Amino acid sequence: MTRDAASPPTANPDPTGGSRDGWRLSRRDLLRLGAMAAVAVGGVGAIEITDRLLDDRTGDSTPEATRIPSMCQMCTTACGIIGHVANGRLLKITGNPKDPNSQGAVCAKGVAGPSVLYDPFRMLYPLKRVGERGSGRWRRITWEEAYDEIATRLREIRDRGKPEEFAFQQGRNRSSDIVSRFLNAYGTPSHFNHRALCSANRRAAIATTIGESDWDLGDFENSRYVLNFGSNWAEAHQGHIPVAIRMMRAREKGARLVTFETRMSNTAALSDEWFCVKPGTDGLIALAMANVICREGLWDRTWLETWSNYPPDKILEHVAQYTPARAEQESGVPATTIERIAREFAAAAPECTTICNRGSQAHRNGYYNDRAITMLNALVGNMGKRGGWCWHPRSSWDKKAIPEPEPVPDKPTARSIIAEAKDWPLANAFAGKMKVAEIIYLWIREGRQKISALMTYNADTAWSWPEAQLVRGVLQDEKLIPFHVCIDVMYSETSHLADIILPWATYLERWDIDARPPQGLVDYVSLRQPVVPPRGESKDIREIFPELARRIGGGMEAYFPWATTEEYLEEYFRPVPGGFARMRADGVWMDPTKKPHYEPHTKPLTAAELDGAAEDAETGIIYKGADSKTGEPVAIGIRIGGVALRGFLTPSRKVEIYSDFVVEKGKAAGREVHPLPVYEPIPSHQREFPDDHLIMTSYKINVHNAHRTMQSKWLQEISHTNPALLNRATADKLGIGDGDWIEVTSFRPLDPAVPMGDGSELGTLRTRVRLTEGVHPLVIAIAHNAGRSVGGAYATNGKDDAAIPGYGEAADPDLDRLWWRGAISVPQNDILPIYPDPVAGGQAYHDTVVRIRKVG
Amino acid sequence: MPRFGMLIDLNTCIGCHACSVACKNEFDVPLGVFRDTVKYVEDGAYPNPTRHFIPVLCNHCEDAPCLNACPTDAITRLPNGEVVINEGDCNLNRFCMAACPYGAIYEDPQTQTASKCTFCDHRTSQGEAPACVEACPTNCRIFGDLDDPDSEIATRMRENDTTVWKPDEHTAPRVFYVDPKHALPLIVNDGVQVDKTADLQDS
Amino acid sequence: MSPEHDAAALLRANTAVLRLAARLFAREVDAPLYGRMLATDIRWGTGHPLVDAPDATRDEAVILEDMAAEFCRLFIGPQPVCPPYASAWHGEVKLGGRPAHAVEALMVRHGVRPVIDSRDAVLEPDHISVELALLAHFREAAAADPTRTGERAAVRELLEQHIRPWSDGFLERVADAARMGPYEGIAVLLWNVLDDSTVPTASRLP
Repeated sequence: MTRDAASPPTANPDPTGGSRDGWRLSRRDLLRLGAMAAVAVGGVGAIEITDRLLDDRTGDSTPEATRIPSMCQMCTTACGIIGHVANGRLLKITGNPKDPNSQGAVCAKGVAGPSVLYDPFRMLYPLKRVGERGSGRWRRITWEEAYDEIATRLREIRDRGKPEEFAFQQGRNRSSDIVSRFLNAYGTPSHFNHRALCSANRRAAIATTIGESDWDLGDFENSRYVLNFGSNWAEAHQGHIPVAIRMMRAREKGARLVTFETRMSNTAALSDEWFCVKPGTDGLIALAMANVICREGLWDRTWLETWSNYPPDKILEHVAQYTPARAEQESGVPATTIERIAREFAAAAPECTTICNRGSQAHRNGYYNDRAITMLNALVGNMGKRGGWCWHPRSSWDKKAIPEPEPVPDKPTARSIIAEAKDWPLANAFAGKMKVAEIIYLWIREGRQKISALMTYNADTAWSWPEAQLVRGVLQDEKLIPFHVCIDVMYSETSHLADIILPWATYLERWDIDARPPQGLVDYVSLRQPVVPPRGESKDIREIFPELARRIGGGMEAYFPWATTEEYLEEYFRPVPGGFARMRADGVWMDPTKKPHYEPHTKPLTAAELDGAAEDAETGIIYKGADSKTGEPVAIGIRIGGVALRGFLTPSRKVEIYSDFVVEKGKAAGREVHPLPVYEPIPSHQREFPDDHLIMTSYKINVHNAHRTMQSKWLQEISHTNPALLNRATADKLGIGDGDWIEVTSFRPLDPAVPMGDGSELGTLRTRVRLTEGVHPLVIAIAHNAGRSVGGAYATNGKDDAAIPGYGEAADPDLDRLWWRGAISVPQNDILPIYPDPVAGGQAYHDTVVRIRKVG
Repeated sequence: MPRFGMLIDLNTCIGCHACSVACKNEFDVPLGVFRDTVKYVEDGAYPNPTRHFIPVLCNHCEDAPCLNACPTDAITRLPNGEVVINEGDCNLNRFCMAACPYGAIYEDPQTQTASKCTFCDHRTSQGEAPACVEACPTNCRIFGDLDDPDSEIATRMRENDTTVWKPDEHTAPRVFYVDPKHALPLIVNDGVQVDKTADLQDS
Repeated sequence: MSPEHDAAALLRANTAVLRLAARLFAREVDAPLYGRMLATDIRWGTGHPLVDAPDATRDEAVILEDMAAEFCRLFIGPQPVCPPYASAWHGEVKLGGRPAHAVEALMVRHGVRPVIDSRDAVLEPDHISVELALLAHFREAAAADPTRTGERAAVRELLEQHIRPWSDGFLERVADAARMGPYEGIAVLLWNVLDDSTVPTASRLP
């Protein structure tokens, strides 16, 4: 038996030699010891066995299961689910047919819910660190102790008049009402999110173009042609299952699915055609398609003349420079293919649509790529049409019809320089404040904003952030982060660096009012409710935050007058017919009078709306009233063809192919932003690469999400490894064979518009190669759903076992079940540089230049 | 008496693994052994390679090699056609595992008997679909009475060309596939049990 | 000492160790329990005390905190070295499940239930402490009235189906992994009392 020399001293040297030799006690010893044990244990509370039974015990061994509707949260898509519960135990999860998005469908992650709920290694008790931060030594504390310490710390900061020093870092947050209530009541603006790591560039592009929404919802089910630029909806994408089921229905009706990708994702594989592209060139291909559509007159010229704020002929002029030949040269896709796809897409209009997300926009030029892709839909006039490119004003439920219960705290007046991220013109320019997550810990390290307390919530920033080692360095530093509370379900790299861990209830044990952007173009509202009570001592923030608010006091408590979450939700759901009770029974409600949000811009303004309105004769824009904050007149519509219509919710009330708004925003931030969609080549890619230099991309796997799923043994069993994917021909040229070890050394971009963009080496990973036909010759693709080193043996393929102090080396029969022990699993984020798109701040995940080298 | 069968339409399988995990949950199948998996098979060359997703499970063969091979008569056929293993009669001789061309049978480490898919007869006898069928988000798995001409499975079998896995084994499977891209023959040295040696190791 | 007296003493010793073990695996050592263990000077193996006494280098508060951290490391987590549940030991994906249901069924059949303190870290009936508490209960009941075959059957079922399938391995791992506190000692003591030969004849399995 080994004993760690650094461990606390013990007076018990090992007498047993690691086996049971010498364990046997004599009868006499046993009698004597037992008598003493009786004295020791007498009256100090062992488990009592009683025959005084409780009333609710039944002898029935197989009762009917109760079906409880709720919402999944294994990933962001939040599909409606049904929990089947018998005898207080969750038996299985199926889909809720009433959910208008998922319509009863679930994926492997959803089905795996019980493996998370009943995970043997869930954190179920509040823990406080013993010894140094990051030592891995913990002891249990009571909730009372936890509340007391946290409230004391937070109250002190608030009383000093510096609420912004309390930072809240969320990962996936489906409880935004309670989070905002707590943080706003406290007064801190330092509410940090992850949006820039996700979809910021795309959202900015869509918001620029149509104004009303930042999220497109293609009407796939009714579409005849779907043009996909790099989205992996079959495995990921915020719309994942709701999108996938509609795509398959479209397929059954004969629709064509075409994908551009750098790697053969499942989506690419199941598409009717897929084309392998050089990373960051999707926008150029889209512009080349625009070139073809314009010059061949395949556009819907009438629609454009009506609804584009930039005349068709000028669009033609602008895209003339983006020839298919040029696109072929840069992207690798043949010009003839680009022309053919453009023609096919236009021929299917208006029952055609694009879909895209990280593949096209998680790039240094992501904002412009997605501007270009979005424009294609305007060109063929499919916007808002059945089978076309659609959207909905609400990204969740109708907050006017179902408002947040009063009193609602005002937004903070204190400022957070990190949240405002002013260097990026479009990061916070639209209604949805996106912020720039990847710079948070860099700016803390640079001392740009003082943090006195950090609360992390459902986030594993110390592992899942770009330059994760930088985050770990900051979290480890008690001068930079004097106090760190981590609220999560499973242990992680981030909770390892906390001072207090609060055990969070899983999504199966708590409440939310929630909804997702509606694929069916009618908004809905849904309920997440406990299918079982929280296990152990886990709690949800809906219980934690009101309690902290009461203890912090100073007026915060006034915003938490409800005694229980149920009472709060009872009030919240009052506008729903049948109220909270109906939500508990059905899980979902959709207003039956609402119609799908097709072509909202063509809706005529009513006489009542026009009453008292004024019209600008030159632009045709109709105004009514004034903005209460700015005094500016409020636009309500536009006169088109003599008729007063709603129009698009943009400054011009038309589709903004050309945007003055973003140009002005750019000027305010000292950055040039193009008004039109352009192709902005990625600076670091504009040179001849040496043979051993490649572009590293990242990708997601269908059974995993960013940090929450690797502890699920069922999901980890299916996917647990992330070898580096290399194109076979590229590998042959470099003398690298399948399974070979390589070093991957990453470089920061040589790019003055990017923080630390000096082209220097960032880090090196040692990993192994899988050769494949399914990746671009210039690309090395590594999945980022693997590579943990904290979180238990299953999540780490056995790495988190003996190495970390606090964990004993043990011959674990459990680990015989860990048949994938030792499978290669590397943390890509450690060599992924902080790399925001200069316009919108979205992180580039697929542009990192690396050098690879075969090693012994 | 219904003649139960399953049809899997590979046109609309998205390779999500919901079926595999639902099966694991339904039976608490231990880690490392499998009743249903989704095979990923890559084919073709850059720039036009492809990947097929093929859910596989026990085929409940009408001429079942496992049933024929079992010396203790632990494997029997239920009235609706399901081939099932009676754990009480199993002495783990493993003849069934050797006989099965699909790798559908495994040793359960907890009961130490042979075990495999049961077509969820505990559910179908209550009018419910098998767990894998219920879980599939795209409804690409159909289960029902092959002999009922109005059943969805019989209708789909009439409307589509269907095939089976390893037809050369002449096992008369009750699991059928709509496989227009001819993916099934690409599963070569692999079966329902996952190849646990396939991963690259980190040392 | 008469054989009956001897047997009774042995039974008391047996059930006391079961209960002490149940207590030690369910919750941290607190000050009162620590004091009692020190005062009674329980020893195991070749004379090792169950717990260290305070000395010049470590006072009681430090020792209690160290023992709390050790309890957490071994049995609570994160990633407990010796998760004290049969289901975790058997490598089940979900905690509880079949082993917990089986213990629950046994309790239902015998009309008993455990009373678990709010500070006990016991989530499911297949926790070792619940099984040990049940064993102590049924051993005493069986000894009190040898004609009660139900209790003797419960003892047999607990040992054969619920405890012995994993207790040897569990206790070996506790003894191996524990660095301080009473955990190595209690593992050795408990292993002895789970061995049937230490049980008085009247309570032995038929």
